[in-house]
Amino acid sequence: MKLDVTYRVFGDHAVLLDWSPQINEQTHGWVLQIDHWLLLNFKNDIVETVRTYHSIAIYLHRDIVPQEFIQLIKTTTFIPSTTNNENTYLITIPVCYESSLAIDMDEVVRVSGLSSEHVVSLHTKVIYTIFFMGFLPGFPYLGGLTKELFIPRRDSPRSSIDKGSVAIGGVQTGIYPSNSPGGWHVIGKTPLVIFDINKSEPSIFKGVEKVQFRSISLTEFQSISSQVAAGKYSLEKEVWRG
Amino acid sequence: MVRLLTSGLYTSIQDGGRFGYRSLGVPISGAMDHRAMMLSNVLVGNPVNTAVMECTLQGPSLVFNVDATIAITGAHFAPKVNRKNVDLNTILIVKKGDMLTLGTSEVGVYGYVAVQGGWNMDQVLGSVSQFKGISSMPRLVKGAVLKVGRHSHLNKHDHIEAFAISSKTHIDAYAGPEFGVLTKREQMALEQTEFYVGRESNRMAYRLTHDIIINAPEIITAPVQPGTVQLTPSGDLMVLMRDAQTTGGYARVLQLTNHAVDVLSQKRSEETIRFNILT
Repeated sequence: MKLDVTYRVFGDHAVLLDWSPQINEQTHGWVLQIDHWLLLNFKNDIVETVRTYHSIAIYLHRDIVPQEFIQLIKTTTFIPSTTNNENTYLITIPVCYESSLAIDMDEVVRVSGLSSEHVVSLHTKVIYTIFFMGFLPGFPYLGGLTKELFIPRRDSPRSSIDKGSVAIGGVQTGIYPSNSPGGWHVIGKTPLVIFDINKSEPSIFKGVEKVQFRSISLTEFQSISSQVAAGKYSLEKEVWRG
Repeated sequence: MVRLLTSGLYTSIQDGGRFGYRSLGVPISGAMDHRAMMLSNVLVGNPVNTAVMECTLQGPSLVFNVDATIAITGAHFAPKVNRKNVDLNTILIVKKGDMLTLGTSEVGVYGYVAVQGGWNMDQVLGSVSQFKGISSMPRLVKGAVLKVGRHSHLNKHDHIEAFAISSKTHIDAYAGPEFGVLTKREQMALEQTEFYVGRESNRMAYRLTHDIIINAPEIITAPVQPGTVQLTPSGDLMVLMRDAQTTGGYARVLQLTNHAVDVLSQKRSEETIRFNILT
């Protein structure tokens, strides 16, 4: 595999692949492709991988020597795969942006100089890319936020942000899968449970999807909440064709 | 059945860890001191990664409602069965109705109680390790009732000599991905400084206090693992431990060896350590 990548040993049983440090779709595309290729071709050596914007950590079985694994992947021909493109879904997440569920909307309005209606329309018009999952079990790092909504994180993080909160922070937006401290600005809430440990697939995201938010009323929020609780809600999901 | 009369400071069931879900942001968890966990299991004849009870500084009191074969390893608690002192690092036979009291640790932080057959608990994502947000109970509380698993058929060992938690103050580490961001002076300071283990240390991270001038800019969020040493722009040093997040935005200046994570886990607040940087 000859690519613009640095290969490093990362502790006793791991290897780190790094592209040049930047957040963009092109690097993300490479990271996705190589991650997929690694998991497909070296599944006997790899316990699991963690990918981020421009890195992949490859956690190896204990009997695998990281230096040797680096040699192995360097000398194996990388064949780009098309299969992971076929399975990209666009998932629509309903979000209620009404003030009772948007504790930081006033602050966002003040800092951005936009009206709350404008904030909602900017936040819902974009199709976001899940760059990776991290921070909390099931937390998607979403890229693609419009510039007008770039707002520095809160100076002091809140000690508890409600599960389902939709927030913006810096150049990113995300959904809190569980109650957690956090430094992003909460601008709404989804009635969906995005991470449920009692399901065989606990996370509604695998980390390769596209996401769009849809604005809903408080009444709709309550109605979807009860559907979710009754196990009767079906996720709005369609194949993404770029 | 075994019941907790008191819970101790922070007592939980841990095993070798939860693998396969880090890409979803799920930490691996598992015993803080793997070596001590494995030893306790070897003593009672369990597979090495069988679920054990992890006790922190102040241990719980347990009442056994079954006969059981147990072993206690790790930090130097002062365990008693029915108010009579018992040894660490050896096999112990407890009878139905016996009470085990762990007491307070005099040396080290984490102690392990293994029971032959293992502590029975529902697996979540392939592991019984208790973790907030994953397990229905993030840790064991007073009154909790645990079941003992079926006996395994491995050879048990009566006693293992020459096992003590490490008194080494040198912590072996590799240069981390951002080690090169540091100046030569900072790199040397990292190796030559005596760091104190801070009070705000827990299963997620150990904080190291110091008075040297060292810092690094934030990075674009990237993978981290247990043993990653993070340095913040304001100069805070944190060593990520078993419940660490899977990704982080601080400079990763060092990466501990697996064994060094075990050694560090047993250091109490105000104890000192030095890094030994491997080349």
